[in-house]
Amino acid sequence: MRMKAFREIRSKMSSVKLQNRVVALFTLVMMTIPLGIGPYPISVMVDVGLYSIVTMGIILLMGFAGQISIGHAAFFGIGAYTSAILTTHYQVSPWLALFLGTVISGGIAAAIGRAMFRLHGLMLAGITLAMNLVFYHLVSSMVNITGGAMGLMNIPPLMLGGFNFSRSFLTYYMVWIIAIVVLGFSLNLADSQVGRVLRSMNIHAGGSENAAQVLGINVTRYKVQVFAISAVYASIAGSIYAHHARVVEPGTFFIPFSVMVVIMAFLGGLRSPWGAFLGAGLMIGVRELLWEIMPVFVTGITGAYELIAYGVILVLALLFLPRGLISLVGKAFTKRRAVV
Amino acid sequence: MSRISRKILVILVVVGLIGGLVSCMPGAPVAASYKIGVVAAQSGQYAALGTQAIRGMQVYVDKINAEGGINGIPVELVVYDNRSEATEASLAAKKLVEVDKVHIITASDVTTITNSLIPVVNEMEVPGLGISGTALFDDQLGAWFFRPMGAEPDYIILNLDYLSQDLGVTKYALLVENSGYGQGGKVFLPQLSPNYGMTIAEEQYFDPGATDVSPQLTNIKDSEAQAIFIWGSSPTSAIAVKQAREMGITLPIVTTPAQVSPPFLAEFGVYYEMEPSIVAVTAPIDVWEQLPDTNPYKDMLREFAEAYQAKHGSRAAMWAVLGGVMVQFIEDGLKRADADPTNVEEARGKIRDAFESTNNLMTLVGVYTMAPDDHYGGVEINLVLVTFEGGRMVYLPR
Amino acid sequence: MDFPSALQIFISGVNLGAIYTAIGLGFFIIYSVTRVINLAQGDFVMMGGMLTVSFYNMGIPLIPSIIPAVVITGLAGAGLYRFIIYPARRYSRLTRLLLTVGFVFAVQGVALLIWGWDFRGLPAFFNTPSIQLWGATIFGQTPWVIGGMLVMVTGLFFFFGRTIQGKALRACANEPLGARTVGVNIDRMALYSFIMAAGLGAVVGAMITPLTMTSYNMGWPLTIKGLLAAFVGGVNRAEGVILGGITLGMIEAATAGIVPGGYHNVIAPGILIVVLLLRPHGILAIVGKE
Repeated sequence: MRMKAFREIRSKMSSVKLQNRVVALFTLVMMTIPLGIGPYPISVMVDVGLYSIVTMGIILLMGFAGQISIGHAAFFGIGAYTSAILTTHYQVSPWLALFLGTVISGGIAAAIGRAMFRLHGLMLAGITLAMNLVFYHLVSSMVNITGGAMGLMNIPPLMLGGFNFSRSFLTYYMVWIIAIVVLGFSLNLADSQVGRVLRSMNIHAGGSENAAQVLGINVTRYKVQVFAISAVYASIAGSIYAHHARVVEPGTFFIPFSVMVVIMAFLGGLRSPWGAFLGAGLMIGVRELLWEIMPVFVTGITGAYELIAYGVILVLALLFLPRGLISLVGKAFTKRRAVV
Repeated sequence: MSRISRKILVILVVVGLIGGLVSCMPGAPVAASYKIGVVAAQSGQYAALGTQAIRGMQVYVDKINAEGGINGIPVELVVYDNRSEATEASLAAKKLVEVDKVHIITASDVTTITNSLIPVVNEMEVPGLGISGTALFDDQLGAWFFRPMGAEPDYIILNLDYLSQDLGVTKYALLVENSGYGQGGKVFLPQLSPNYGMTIAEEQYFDPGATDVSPQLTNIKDSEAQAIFIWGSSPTSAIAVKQAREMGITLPIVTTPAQVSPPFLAEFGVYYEMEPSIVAVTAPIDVWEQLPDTNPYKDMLREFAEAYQAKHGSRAAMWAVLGGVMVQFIEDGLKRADADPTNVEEARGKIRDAFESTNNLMTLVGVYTMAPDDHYGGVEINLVLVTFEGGRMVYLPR
Repeated sequence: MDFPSALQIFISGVNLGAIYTAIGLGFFIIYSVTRVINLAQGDFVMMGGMLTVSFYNMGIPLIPSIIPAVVITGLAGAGLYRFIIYPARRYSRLTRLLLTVGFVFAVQGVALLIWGWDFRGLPAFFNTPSIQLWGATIFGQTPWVIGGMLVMVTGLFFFFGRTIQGKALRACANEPLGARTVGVNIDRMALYSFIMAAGLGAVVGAMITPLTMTSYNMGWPLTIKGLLAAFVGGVNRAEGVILGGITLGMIEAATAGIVPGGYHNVIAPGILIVVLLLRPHGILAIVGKE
């Protein structure tokens, strides 16, 4: 495995160049897409973008730090509610509110994170679950501040210069520019020292936690950093969501959302931040497909059938894509690594 | 990876991508019919509500089409499942507007989901209506959204009136559910009770999924409350009645419409009847047979109830009625707008204007008159008080 | 607070605790043998309740209705293992957890299809009336729930502790290689654990339906509650799960009336967070093999 590291460093130069080119190409594609598609697909892509940002954080957390979180909806919610409350009740600038949201999310993550990482995977899941529950019930109860179970309405749209971002077209650009920046940051992180350390000790990537500790690396500190970063990503996405949907209610920020982003991360592939787009795209694409196709097969009320189909597709996808969609893509890009 | 699983893999990926692309294609050429977009929950926690609302809407849509449509133009419902999630509802609405080119959007579940459609409808400039039982957001409906529904101030006053006038109660206990539904009660009951000379002596809470509210009932029993107002929509809110009676609490109990739905009655009706039998506010459809023939709504209710029963073999309940009300409102608006359905953008504007000028429209749940600054428009809300006796719901005339 | 009120809260707490413990034990059984977190446990409970109602409505007396309900749910559990979990046996544990989520969607869809969205209820077993005891009321079904849970716990202890099969099941989780060496068929044991947990869940479903009614999507909140109970106690030890369940139940009963609004729902997960931070393996779990 150390041999692999040496080879990686040698091939780093060329693979980084390749990666930069891919990112540039990707940026070009994503920026020109809206010009060629109708407004509804743009809205769908906004959703994909938002989910991708959150999912990327999960991939960093699970794929690189090897930690599990089934409560990330809480961070998404902290971003969303902070933005909603500050801009609606207190007329704070949306960008400032977004920033504050990330500070709170990151702070909380760092605080629990430090204590959390003595825990093994299972207990970690437990604590993130509990965190999500606490968030959800707090938000549902603080009626005067958060609107309680009914939520908040009339959140102002994001403004930048003279541009009003409530129109999907502009929101698309904002979301995807941020998504690409986040992607760049994540790729950078993956290739940085932190990333290597994490990957070397992450079982998913073929590493071993003991090895890293033996080498004297402060494993916990890196894990906490990644956890905080993933919380910040989710918070950013949440803030944008609040201004995009202009309505927030607690049900959106509960366990089903948390589980969904984990599923997206997993199906996309934990090996690389690119997996976020694949996973989010797949799950949302499936949902769209079901909306279109179900009425063809089933007349009347289709909800039950869609639910069944969703479950079946999920099971099949997990069984046949254990390493996520990225493993399909990976074959094309990492031929070098096949030689071990 | 084996060859077979790789093939399946490719299929899955292609399927997912196609899904995205297929939904991109604009819908069929605009046919000459009025399209009503329906965003409803067919799965998830609101499945009961959404599905019944759709059925209620269909009753009137079928009737309209059987009679030749509106000004000769047929009406059709285009339905998407929102899985009880606000985010999906929002996207479904956008799809209905952009791809299916509907003329009207309807939200058929509960307040939180309805609220998530209000910005969409206002930004995309499509007339919308929604089912929402609260008056809390009526000043934020915008120019395009209408809420021809009842709200807490409309229906709780019937209960409060009963408690203070008929029973002389001055202090009562509120046992309220921790949910969106319950939140309305928590806001309005303290506000409106003083108008009836009453105060809330004790406030207790329960969760929608709770199995046992005996601790709360114990606290109520120990307080000065002379009656209990139980407010909730989950089975627990019905179980509360059972437990109260089994605990020997003989205080009068009043409830909201959600607690007297048929499944709850089937299980707990026996406890609802125990002395003193509970009193509830509910939609008149539940007791339409008992309404006096002089009641102006009776014929309308009979027609709806019988059509629903014939089609679905079960009794129409509150959400079916609310769906029906939306179509009644739409029908009236469409008639007056007399818009050309093939010119979608212009039609939407005309329909919105027609909605806003709705005047004294009688529907299953009441009479509505809209105005530019009032998109709730309730002139008279048709709800009744009922009690329970001899195994059935009994109409309590006021 | 006077004695009858305190007693009422206590009884309520024990009742609730029994339910959470029972569900938590379902998690425990599967986890301890296969290391899989089965998020479909709550849906096994739902199936048990719904099926019992169906059979009961067909005319079969209440208690005998439970039997086919348990059998069918057990088969569902077997199906979950054989067709979904077993094919993924070489994949990561997270994959298997997510697979149970897929199963949840499918099961809920089928339940919605068959039974619709309505709530369904059952009368108390043997139509037991409620009893007054020292000023507090014990509702009809409560003794059955508590009694049922006691029977279940005792049975599990006996099974896992004393019988060969039970010990074999435990061996699978703790030391798979060793278990195989002495001829234990791990896959067969895993299958049994799923069937057991599903069957147990079904019994719980039948027991609580007279209390709370059942509906096609009641599984999810139960799963969460059961998970909380299992985590608090420490999923490694059955005693931990029991302690966790009872603790949660007591807390919920004690705070339900007292703490305003929905805030009391913050208490249970809040306690879990504190417990896990102070004792990372749950209150009673043994530190050791994870």
